[in-house]
Amino acid sequence: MRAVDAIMECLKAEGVEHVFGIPGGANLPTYDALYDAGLRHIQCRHEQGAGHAAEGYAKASGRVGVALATSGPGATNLVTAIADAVMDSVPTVFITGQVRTDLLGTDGFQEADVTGITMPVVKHSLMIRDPEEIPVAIHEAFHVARTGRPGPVLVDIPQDLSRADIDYVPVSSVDLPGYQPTTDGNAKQIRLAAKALANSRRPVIYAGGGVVNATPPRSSSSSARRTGCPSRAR
Amino acid sequence: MGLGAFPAPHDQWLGMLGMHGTRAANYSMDEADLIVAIGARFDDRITGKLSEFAPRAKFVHIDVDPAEISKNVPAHIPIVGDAKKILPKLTTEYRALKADSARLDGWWQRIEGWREKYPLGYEDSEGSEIKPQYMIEALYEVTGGNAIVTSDVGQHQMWTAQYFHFNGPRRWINSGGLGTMGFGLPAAMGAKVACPDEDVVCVAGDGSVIMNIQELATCVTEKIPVKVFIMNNGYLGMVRQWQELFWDRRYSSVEMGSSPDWVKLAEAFGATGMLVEDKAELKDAMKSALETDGPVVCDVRVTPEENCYPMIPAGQAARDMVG
Repeated sequence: MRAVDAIMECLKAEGVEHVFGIPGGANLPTYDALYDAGLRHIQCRHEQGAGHAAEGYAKASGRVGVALATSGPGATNLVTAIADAVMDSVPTVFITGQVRTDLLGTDGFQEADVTGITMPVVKHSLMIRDPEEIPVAIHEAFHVARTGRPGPVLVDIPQDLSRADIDYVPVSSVDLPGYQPTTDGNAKQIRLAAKALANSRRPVIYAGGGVVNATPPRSSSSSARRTGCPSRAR
Repeated sequence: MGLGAFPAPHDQWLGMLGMHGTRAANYSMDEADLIVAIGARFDDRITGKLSEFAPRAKFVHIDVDPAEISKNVPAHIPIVGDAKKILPKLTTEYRALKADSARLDGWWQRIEGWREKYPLGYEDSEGSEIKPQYMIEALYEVTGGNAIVTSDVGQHQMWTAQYFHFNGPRRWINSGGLGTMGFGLPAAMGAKVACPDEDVVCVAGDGSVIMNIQELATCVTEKIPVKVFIMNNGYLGMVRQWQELFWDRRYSSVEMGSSPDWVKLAEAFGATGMLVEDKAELKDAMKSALETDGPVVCDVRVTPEENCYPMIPAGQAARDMVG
């Protein structure tokens, strides 16, 4: 199977139904795979638009938003959307085409070091070096984007590697020993917080975007109502 | 960012916090003895002058990202984890302590005093002029408050946050951190694809929306019926406001002029274009826009030099709010 066809299988396995993007030279293989993959692709008019659309999709639904772009200007046009997504903790996966591996570092046509350019504004990024690693990389990207503090993950795929044939084996689980977000909250700290609340005379709850991220669509927090504390939000 | 996390119509809701938040919210932070921050990061638009921020408070900081704890404000009780898991536990622990809720009576009276003395408000026009705040109130009324609302960045964003009372999460979609002008239209497009059965409206600025107006073509060709309401004041409004207030009214490169003709532009893209200049026609026009098939761009001409208040001037403390 071509690596790009494996990408489509991975997207579907992640529950992706919609992707936003624009084709170009370096991601032609991806768009060939997209042709009959059964996903709805929304063909945007500028990659920044595709990136913000992926954010709007994620913010409205709570699902991971996906945007595709080609190398060079396609990828650099995504930078504002990626920076936006990291600031607002939006679960997003960006898949960019890159020039062929034999052209990397030669100032090839539409070559830009997008993993370098976006390094300070991604939650995680990687450039594919071996086509066999693509399925695992895609699933890891989704896992990192939506777990812990959500954020943007960029996967940059050189054109020749994306069209390579690989032995595709569906990925059943992601194993990242170095990435284990704490979710439960320390019980002793929670008790201390409850005591501080019980002893307070002028408490206020300051609820940020993280509370929205922690809720499914259209449910609302009832904690403040139960504690009787004033509440405000940013 | 957190609007809708707690329903705005609820009486325990104090309103938005920060530079253009309510006085009740900002003053209560100023006098609080305990602040429980949940999934929030104490950025400068919230705190104002950091050294004078909430001087009497201890902080409980709940965040899934350990890097946020004590980044801007030192936490007395940090809790790293997912709010969804922590809040039920915190509520259970709190209830077990059987704290007397009457201890908060005085605090609520104090807050009620601020609410009564400093409600959010504006001086509405007598005639046909459309005040920007009225535009948002009209949109809230016409949508029944149920729409998903995206915005660009600037005055219209703050007015939407103030006057559209979000009663649930994932309904307010804006660029809170980076402040990206041109965010609203493509974000609305994405939201509509995700939630096709919801009304998705974009409250745009005339300065912002043109930065990604090309996506109107996407909305038309991909049949994504978003409704864009441009709060058109002819200025880069928030920059103009700062030039007026803090730079001696030297308006430098903030006038937008008469270009483009938004109705013709919408029609050129294959969308429906509408122009509203009369307050009496606004609500009907909004209803019509929502009922029209396909993408709509509604150019709403509002008061050109209205300022967004109240406001904590940059670098000042909450108690120094003006307007």
